Amino acid sequence: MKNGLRSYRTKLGMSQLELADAIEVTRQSIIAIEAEKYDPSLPMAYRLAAYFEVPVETLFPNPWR
Amino acid sequence: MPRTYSEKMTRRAVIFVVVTLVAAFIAKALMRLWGVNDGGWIAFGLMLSAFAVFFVLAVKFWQSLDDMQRQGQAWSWYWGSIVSTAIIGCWIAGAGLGKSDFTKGVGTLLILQLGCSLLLQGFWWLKGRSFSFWSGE
Repeated sequence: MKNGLRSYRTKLGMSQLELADAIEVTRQSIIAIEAEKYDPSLPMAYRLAAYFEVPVETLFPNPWR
Repeated sequence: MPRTYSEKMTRRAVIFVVVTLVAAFIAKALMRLWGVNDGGWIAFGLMLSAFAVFFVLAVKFWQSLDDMQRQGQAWSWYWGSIVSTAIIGCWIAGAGLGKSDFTKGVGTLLILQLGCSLLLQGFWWLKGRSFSFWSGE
């Protein structure tokens, strides 16, 4: 699933490890989401969106809309 | 002390393995001390205690995993079990061990694993229905 995670993260000047620690997931999860190889669960998507203070659909654009 | 989430996870995994091994070694040492060499209620009780420790740690470890890690565990156990079953099946067939005690052991293990998996799958479906099956909804 396409997402803007990498651009939001780099905008804050964070590393993947720092973001992973901030939302309590492994760095592998962040790498896989950014590489669009893994679709996060709804709770994880909400947690990421809340961290960047954006709506979920801003971070994960809805391709069906 | 671990600082990052990944370090915490590594620490938990190490504790999981070490505590389980220590529990198993203590159980074995107690059996030797009491002169119990094979089977019986003492061995059963010790084994049950060791697995109780293992189970508590397994639940805690599972709860601490993020959802990608959980998928990774489920994926690797599922495909790992299928591949290992295929390997052992071919091994038994190739080595002509069809009626050996080894095959009986493998069969017992596979039947119990399949039985427990089916039981848990049933539990999983009921959980997905919020146990509405029981309330008659």
